[in-house]
Amino acid sequence: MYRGQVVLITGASKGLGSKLADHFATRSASVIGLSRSPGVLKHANYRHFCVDVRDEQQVRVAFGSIRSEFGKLDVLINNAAIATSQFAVLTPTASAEDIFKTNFLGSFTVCREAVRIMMKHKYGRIINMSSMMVPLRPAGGAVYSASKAALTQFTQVLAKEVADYGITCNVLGVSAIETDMWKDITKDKLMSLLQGLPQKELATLEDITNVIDFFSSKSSGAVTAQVVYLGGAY
Amino acid sequence: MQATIENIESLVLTAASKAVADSAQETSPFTASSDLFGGDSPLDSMDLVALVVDLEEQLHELFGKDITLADERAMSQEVNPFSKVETLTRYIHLLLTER
Repeated sequence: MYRGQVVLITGASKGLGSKLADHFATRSASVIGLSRSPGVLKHANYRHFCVDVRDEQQVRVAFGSIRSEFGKLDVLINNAAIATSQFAVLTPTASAEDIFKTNFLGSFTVCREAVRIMMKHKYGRIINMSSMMVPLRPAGGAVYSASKAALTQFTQVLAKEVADYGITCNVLGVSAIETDMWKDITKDKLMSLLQGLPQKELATLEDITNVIDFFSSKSSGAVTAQVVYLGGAY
Repeated sequence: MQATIENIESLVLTAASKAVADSAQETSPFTASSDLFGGDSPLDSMDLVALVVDLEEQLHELFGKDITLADERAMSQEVNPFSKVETLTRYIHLLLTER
């Protein structure tokens, strides 16, 4: 399905990122994973770079290697993120800064470097991962949801800037799946958040890859600047 | 490749011609005094972005330096480096040769 395509996934060492890497690798893509910790996926089509997306220089060095080793990039999935649940009035500025550095600035830097490669080949599919927390606006999620809302706005403006280069930019807002990203949030709290959605169940990997495959498809050239929320969030 | 004015100008001229060719416009060839931004430049803003991206990549490949052409420093120059081929050439030369 993805033979001959190069796919880059951030936050690929665990959770959803690792599952997405496996999804693309088993469908014949050459998959590049970026994350702070070493990758766990063992697959002939998978190559891991230990990179902290908050560090611009590390990202630039990694993209230099990607440019020379792979020569192109077809699909980018910005999945690296950190999630916390804390009332704004109790959140230290350093924590807020850390969340924005990973969730927004890290994704921004990776997008910028990816676009530079994609522009050359006049083709690219960028998918930035967001969350139901943006439309639900739950108490305790002020900083996290603000970081994801910023990413959505950025994605939609970027879509305009790169449209002439055959590059599409879209957002997938996941409801919730069981990953360790939510370790700071109790299952009860997560389930109560889901009560605000038309569909109140956890999302499955297939729910997510269905939309990822749609956005990644070569046939989706006219689909850009769109936001899809799973579970009916809006 | 040596970081001479002549070599850098050649890079800028080639990159500018490529940026125009990519946008499928028919224009007269670029020279050192050609406008890049504003004036009679055939480049629109996205062509200029493509030109900058292309040049930064080539400067990395040819001189092994990670140079950011469009930053606060470029904007604070007395003469806008992006106004003409020759101003961009001189600015790149400055960035490549300063210690």
